[in-house]
Amino acid sequence: MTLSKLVIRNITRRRGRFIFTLLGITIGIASFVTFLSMGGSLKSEINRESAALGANLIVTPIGSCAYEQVSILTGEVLPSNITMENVAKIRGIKGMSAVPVLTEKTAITNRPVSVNGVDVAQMKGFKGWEVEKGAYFSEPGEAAAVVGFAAAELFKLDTGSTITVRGEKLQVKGVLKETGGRDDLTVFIPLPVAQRLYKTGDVVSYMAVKVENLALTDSYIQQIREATNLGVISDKQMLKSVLSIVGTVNITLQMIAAVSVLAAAFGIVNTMLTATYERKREIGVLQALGAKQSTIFGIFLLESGFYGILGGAIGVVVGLLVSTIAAPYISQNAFTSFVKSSGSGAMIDMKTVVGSILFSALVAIVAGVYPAWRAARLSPVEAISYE
Amino acid sequence: MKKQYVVLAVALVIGLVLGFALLSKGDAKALNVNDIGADPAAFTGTITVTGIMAGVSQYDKSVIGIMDIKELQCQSPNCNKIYIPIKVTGALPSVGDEIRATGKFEKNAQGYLFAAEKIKVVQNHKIGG
Repeated sequence: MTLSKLVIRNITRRRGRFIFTLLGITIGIASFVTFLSMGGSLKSEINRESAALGANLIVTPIGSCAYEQVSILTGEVLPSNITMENVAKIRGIKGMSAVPVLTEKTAITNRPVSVNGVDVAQMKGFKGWEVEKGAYFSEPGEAAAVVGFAAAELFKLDTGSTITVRGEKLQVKGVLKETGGRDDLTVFIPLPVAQRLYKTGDVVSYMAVKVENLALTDSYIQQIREATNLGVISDKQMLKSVLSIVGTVNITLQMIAAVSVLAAAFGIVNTMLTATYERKREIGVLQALGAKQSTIFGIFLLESGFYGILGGAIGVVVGLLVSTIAAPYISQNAFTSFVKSSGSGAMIDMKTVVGSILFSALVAIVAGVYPAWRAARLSPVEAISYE
Repeated sequence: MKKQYVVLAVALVIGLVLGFALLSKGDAKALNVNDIGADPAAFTGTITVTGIMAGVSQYDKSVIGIMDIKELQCQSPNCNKIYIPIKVTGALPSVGDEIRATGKFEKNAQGYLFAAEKIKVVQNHKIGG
């Protein structure tokens, strides 16, 4: 009988114990992978949305917190108190182009959808939008809508369809080409129309700014602050600030998962110690046949390692499945809403898959050291005389 | 005979998991205050809204205001707090209670009022002392 066959036979001899010990490590690794893959997905979504925003600087009302910065990326409704006078002042600064955005929401068939009031001509050039179907706005104050690619698909909108925003029917004039960002799920209407419908007055929620010379970014920030007394952050600062909060949340979740892996490790210790006591006679026979202490130590270590590898592999599959299924339901917070919008919750990363299986194997091997040591140091007389 | 019990136990566990998943799916359809506050007229029929009980109307003690769950995290003075007025029949929830209210919007002279048919308190967030 080969060593591997002996290990598998020993482990599966007590099926109930084998299954429950395996379940422990499987659940631990599954929760670890779930949090890890969802965290990875969240980070990549944030990076993608930040890139899709296409701005070097964001002008927000003074005192905006990181949660409001996240709202810019998620398309949530923001406080609107940047006046058009401030918009004009920022537009007057040379070396950059600035577009104002009013973020609002409406619903189509009872499903919430983001509505952005934009300077239609300027925004098209700023974002580099192309029209997939129909036409773009022809006038700055045209009472019509242009919808993002995914929104058109989701709500079955086409050119000529009508949507009701704040009680007013607007005709869908065109559908934008897919951008890969939040714009795909947004309904765009001209800024004056949005201000009128939502009764916001002469204000916008934020301004996206593109600078001509990136080396002078700090100087532009200073100029905007001096001209308007508004908050200004660079895209990199915003990304850093959002990712740092997401990172803290991720680490906390991973710590919780690590505790469940630790609990599973104690389950392996318990199982292997029980096996050591039960198999004293077998150990004695092996010793009588000339097996070295290192061989017996190796057999027990391989057994616990087997739990780790098998439990890790099953845990990875379960974890990825759970994160994919759970993602659409996690939408109660600004950070996790990224996962919801991404369409796929789990980010299948080979590093996560291989790393988790190796981690599981390592934990199981470490858990098996003490029982293996106990088994190896049994004297042949003690072992063989065990009844 | 033993195998039958095992199969029965496994089926029971799967059933419970599926049941839980379906119930959770129903809960996930609740709308946030920030999703509906800007254009309540766009929501028709019976819907479920989730939010934090923020206070009681001074004019009508059966009307409460709820804010979005996200506002619990925003500490800046610039927070975008939108309140949705909810007409409650029966016991009022406490300030800080996270609730799920099922009902429909009704138009009145002041704007829109959410007439709740059912209110479920999920948990309390201990705000306002």
